[in-house]
Amino acid sequence: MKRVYNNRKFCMDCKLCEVACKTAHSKSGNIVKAYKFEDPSPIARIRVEGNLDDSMAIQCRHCDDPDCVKACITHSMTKDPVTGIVSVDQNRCIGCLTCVAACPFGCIKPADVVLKCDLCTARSNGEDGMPACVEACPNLALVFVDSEVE
Amino acid sequence: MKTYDYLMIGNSAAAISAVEAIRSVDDKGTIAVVSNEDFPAYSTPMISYLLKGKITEEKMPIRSESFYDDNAVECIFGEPATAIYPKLHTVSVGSEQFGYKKLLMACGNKPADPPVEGLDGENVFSFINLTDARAIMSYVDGIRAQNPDAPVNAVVIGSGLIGCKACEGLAHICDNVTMLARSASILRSIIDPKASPIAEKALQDGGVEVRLLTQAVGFEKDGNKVAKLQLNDGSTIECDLLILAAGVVPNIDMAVNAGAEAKRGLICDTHMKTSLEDVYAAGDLTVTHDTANDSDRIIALWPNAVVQGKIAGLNMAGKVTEFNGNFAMNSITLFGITILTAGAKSAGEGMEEQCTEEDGKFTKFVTCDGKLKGFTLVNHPENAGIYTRMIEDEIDLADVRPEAFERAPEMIDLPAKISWKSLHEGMPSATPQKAGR
Amino acid sequence: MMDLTIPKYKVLRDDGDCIRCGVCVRQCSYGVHEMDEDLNKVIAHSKECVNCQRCVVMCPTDALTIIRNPQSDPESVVYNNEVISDIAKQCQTGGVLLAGSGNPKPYPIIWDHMLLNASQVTNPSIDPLREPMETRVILGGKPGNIKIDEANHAIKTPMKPLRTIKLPIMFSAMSFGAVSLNVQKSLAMAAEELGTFWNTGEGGLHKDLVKYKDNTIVQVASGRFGVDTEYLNNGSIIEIKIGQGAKPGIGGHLPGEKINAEVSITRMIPEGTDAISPAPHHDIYSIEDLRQLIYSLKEATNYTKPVAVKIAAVHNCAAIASGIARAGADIIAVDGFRGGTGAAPIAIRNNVGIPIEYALAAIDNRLHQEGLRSSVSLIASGPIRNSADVVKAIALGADAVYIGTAALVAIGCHLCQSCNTGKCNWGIATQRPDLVKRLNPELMSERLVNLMHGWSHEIQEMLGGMGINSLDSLRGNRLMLRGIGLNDRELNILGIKAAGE
Repeated sequence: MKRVYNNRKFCMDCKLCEVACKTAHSKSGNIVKAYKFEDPSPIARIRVEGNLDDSMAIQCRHCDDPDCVKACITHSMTKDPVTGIVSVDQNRCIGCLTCVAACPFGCIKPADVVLKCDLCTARSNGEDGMPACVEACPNLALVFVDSEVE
Repeated sequence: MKTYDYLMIGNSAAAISAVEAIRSVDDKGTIAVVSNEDFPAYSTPMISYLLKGKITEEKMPIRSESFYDDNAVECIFGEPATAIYPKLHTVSVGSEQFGYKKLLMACGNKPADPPVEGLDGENVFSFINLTDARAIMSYVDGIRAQNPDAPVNAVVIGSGLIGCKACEGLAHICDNVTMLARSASILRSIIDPKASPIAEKALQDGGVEVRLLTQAVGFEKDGNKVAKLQLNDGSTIECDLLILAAGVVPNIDMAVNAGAEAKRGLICDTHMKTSLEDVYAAGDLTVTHDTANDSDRIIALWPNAVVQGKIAGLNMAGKVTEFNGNFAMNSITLFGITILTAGAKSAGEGMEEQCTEEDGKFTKFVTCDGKLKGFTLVNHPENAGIYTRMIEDEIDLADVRPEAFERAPEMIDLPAKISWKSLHEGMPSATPQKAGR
Repeated sequence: MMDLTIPKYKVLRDDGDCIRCGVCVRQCSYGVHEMDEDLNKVIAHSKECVNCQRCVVMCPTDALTIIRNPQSDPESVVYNNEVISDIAKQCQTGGVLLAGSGNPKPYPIIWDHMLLNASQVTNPSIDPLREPMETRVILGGKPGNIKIDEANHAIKTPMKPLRTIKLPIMFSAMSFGAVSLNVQKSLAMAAEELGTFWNTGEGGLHKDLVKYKDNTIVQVASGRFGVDTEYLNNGSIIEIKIGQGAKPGIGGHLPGEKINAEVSITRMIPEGTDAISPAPHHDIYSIEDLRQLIYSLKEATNYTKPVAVKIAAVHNCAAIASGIARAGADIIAVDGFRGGTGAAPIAIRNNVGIPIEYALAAIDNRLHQEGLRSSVSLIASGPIRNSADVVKAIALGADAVYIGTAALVAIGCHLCQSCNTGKCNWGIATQRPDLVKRLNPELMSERLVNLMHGWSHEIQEMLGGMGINSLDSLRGNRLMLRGIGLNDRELNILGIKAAGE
């Protein structure tokens, strides 16, 4: 499967990936509305850690053998056997947060219904299905490439 | 008598996980699942959400409707297994006998004996499965129908996880809910007593009366109902509904009767095999080596059941796989608060612990020899899994940035070597940049 | 002391579009933007703004605009706000006013006073998409005549070392220290891909860049920083820097705070010490002295590498160039008064030197007159802004050009002229690790390659239009140029006719 990889050496803490993620996961898809008018405010699923000196963007790794899927008590967290994408069924999740306790990357956002990176599968306007964060990165500190593990 | 290549006693997380594991290596062998309940596998922890009205029963199954057909699994539902004959390789279910080549014990646990002998009646329930939840709901519906104006008083005996979750569910369908806690704090098996007040407050804010240091010593019956409880402080409490949530015990009687070695739970080898030939076990009824504090105990939690079920299944199907212990990891949401825990709850010998409490948040870290062994996070769930990783990978805390324990932990707090490796698993070694555009 | 200066720019923020994402706050090394939690607004300290436009480019909602401070000038064209501000700054500090990049003053740009020819009917034009077009250039001294061994089909005349570039454009000298290592990496990677050269400048060759040695020009300047035999042998061409267009006649000064560990190792000087390049080479006071250095370098590299000499375009540069050719140089590089720099005294940058166009024409003429033209290659620079400038330069007599500023613009430079502050938000003229990492050489080299491909296509189109299919046929072909808006004397110096003639 294709995965997003970060390059810490060239991450400059601009957080444009967070902005793009938040917009991509908003109702309107419009950056200004996403930030200023939508209620509830959309939530970015990518997180830039660190500071100007040393930073990196982290999002779901879509693990080969995901701990979150094993932990999920409602079978709402699943890994698609074809695409490899780990996703949460928003209609089934009850927000028990067991997946949050399990995810070794801290990549599931606790909420009434948990939120996580979906590799922008729901976004139709991404060029070649490129996730919004990768598209937004001005310095190639995020790349979207075929991974050598499933 | 029908004989199956694989026979599962139990139909929850461990059994389903085992079925999937078996099918990943053996698509021919015959499989049957025995369950005392007549439902497809569902999520037992969701019963409190069902009571609460947050979900309906349709949401409870943990696999699609066609799961059993898709995996060619025969369902023997509605009656419990009662005996195992390891020499004959047969199991009694109701009046029938079934043969097995490999057997999996995955029937979880059952309620512990009531705190007062003979405490039983038509309004007395346990709260561990869907049958219980359905019975409670229909009983409440029944008394409401009889007398719509009378308040419904529910009493929950027990202040552990089940007791608390029962209170949360009951608060939505009963008028008064009282929790009787034997000790001075609640959720004792899960959180530090110092964090108990946060949980107590959440229960109280949710309309539950929490009575600490209180236990039932006797009861009065009205017909077939338990009408009143006599308490240790001399007072009495009326109850329309009584939930017994004072603990569970592993469902191991038939395995023990058949000669399986047990110490509270079934003792298994690293392949999840019990001391009986061709009999495996997984989930809440096994003794697990707790890697967080190097002890053997029952870890009756969903993720552990899934992992053990998978390993048992693989070994049953002939794919040798090792289980080297696990540690507890759990999350509870209770009246809006979140409690995430993993590993050791408190410091044992040679360990250290550190607690912080601030604005309704509580954190506790247990360490040993510079390694994280356990955490408790109340209302502090963000990125908690990174702590879980620290326990699992035994990361040397000297290499972890101290900020990781002052705010939500981040990957950048981990040593660069560890974070780089895990974040870049499978990244092609050739320069990927241009391929990415 | 009271600060008498007024803000040069004003930062305008469209509050309706600003989403308070804070990108501008984190991207500005000058501290212009600040998130004010009380006001729930991002506020701007306009006085700190240098108009590098990093925030404008990075703002995801295009909410930012930087304008020149509309504060009106005094009622005087002589003492305008800029003049006053310079005096105000200087009376507060007592120092020399410094700035980066090139001469910004409104002197005429001669390139824009020259027009190219095209074929109509006779000598028909050539379509470069259908027919071959030779854009290769061979650099180095060529023999006046050639003796051929007809029996063996071999050249008998001994040949000097030559270098071929695939297009007539090279990246000019920008030292590690003045620019970041990522800039040099980007240039080196692009040069390798394009089949041309990048130039180390006077800062030594970082170990990471040795692998690009076949595309590297190593520079030897008055400070001799980073120079040893290994360095010389790690270049494909050696360039002696006498001067540069932005600051003819003066040396360089890289302040100690820019000499970090890497720069120190590469320059072979202690960390934190100022790197001072003297105004002259202290061993060169004559053409004869220059000849000695040229031959020392040739000797050190066993006569395997062409040696170039770079000078600034100054009043008597034609005579100087003649002397350089006679001193044994294989390549002469001339840098016009619009050339860029990492830091120069404003007084020098804005007032010293002459336009490259005149210097180039004069040098090419002089070398022809003296029969020296084929013994050297001629490189022009300062400024070469686009493909048309390249074509005009070659028509005036250049073999190839150097680009510096244009290359930096391709990787982000917005000409704020604040290179000397070391706080370049684009990661170019800085050594601050948090800023340097903003330049990913993978990405930047791609931009440079794209730019050069674009120029190359345009050059081929222009050549084809003139009915020429090789750069060799354009070199010094001044009939292809016509002047517009130039007086007779200027046309005469350029050796071109006026438009319409």
